[in-house]
Amino acid sequence: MVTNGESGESTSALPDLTDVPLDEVMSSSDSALTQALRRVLRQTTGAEPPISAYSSGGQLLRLDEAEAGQQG
Amino acid sequence: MRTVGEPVKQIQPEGPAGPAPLPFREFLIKVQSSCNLACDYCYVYRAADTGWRTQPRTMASATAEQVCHRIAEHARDHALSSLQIVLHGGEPLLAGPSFLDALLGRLRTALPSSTRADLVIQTNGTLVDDAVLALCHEYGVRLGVSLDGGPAVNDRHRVDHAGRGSHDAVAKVLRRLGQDRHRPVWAGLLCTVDVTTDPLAVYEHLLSFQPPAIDLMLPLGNWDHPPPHRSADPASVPYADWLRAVFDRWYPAPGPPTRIPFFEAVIDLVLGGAGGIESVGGGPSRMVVVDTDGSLTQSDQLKTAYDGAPGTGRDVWRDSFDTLLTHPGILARQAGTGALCEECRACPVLRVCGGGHYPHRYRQGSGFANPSVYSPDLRSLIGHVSRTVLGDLDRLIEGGLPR
Repeated sequence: MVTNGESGESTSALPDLTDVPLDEVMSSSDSALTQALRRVLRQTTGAEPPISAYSSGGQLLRLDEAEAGQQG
Repeated sequence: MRTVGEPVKQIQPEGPAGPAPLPFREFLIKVQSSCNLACDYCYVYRAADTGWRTQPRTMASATAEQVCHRIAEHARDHALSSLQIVLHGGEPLLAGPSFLDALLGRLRTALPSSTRADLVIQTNGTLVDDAVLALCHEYGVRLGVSLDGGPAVNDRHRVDHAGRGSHDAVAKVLRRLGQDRHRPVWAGLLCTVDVTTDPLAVYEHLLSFQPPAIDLMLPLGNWDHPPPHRSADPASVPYADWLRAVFDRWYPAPGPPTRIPFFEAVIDLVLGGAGGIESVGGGPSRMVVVDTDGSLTQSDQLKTAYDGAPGTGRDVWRDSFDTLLTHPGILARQAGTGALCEECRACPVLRVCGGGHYPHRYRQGSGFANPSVYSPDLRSLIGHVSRTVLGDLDRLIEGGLPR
């Protein structure tokens, strides 16, 4: 079960993304979930995972996007 | 809830480092040790470490030149395709436009052409003027600006040395940064969470400037010096409550959401991706700090642990960044779950939490081998985000995206 982090429950297992409708996700309008799915999918094909960036006003964003081959 | 099947390829953290430590990719340069503000939670001046007392106020030009040389050397030696350089302080803009012009120009010419550099100035925002904006445009530098909320909230903490609030001066700058011509040089807002405030009022105020991103930062603290209102009672989760309120407003908002790296990281981790920020996920830290006198140190946020905590005994004159890669403090932050305490390794939310932010784990006696002082909050928030996201994922798979 992929449940939650409250007592007795767990996020240790990975969710199964195999049935996610990828075409729909990639072409859909933005939402927090679809953007996250795109990021995770990009990470699976990226040569280098994103760094664990220092909290500093959002400075991590441009590199993430550039590494994804997108405009910053 | 869904059952777990065979996942698509998932990102694994880069740690443990193994025989070859990971090169640095994020360089924090303390160009100025002084600040024109006196924020009551500042980890530079009000924490356990007193190193700032002996630092020069502004980095010397020769030191800056050597820093550029060392960064370029590291980029060449490791064939880095990209790196990030953050000019930090104190207040970095106190170093003045001519110093910054020289430093940024040197950085741009010293770095290999094959290395893409993201340059950021992290500022309190009070000193941003035409000259600063011109420099940002010329060198492609983005500004990260600190603001904690509306005047009553922000000016509770972020005041100058005479006790005067900084909100109005910063708000004026943010309105300029929000103009089309300046938006490319605006990285976003950095907000330190105060749980005594109305989270939605703070969020809506920050949002009113239409920032490209809002970084929500938990106040620095540890088991010896707990953050404000973080009691020993694990049932009390004031930070999770505060963040959950903002998350519930942010997550379902229509249209492209304003980026909130902390929430994005938790969602990505829930979905099996990498977090990309140092406060959750347990990814390897690849950041190093150069102090104003050229000393090489670990994260400056370790200043909250004990006096001298970030120190390494190395400096840019004698030592390359490579010599720091084998420092025990650096290795510990690249070791992933291997560096976590037993309690964390047995925790059901470890994969997402990653032990939380390293400085938050400190306790005298056991060092950093503890859960985060925010552990109850992290567990509660991760549970909430996980339920929300996985519920939506179920609906997406079963019925597609809502039209």
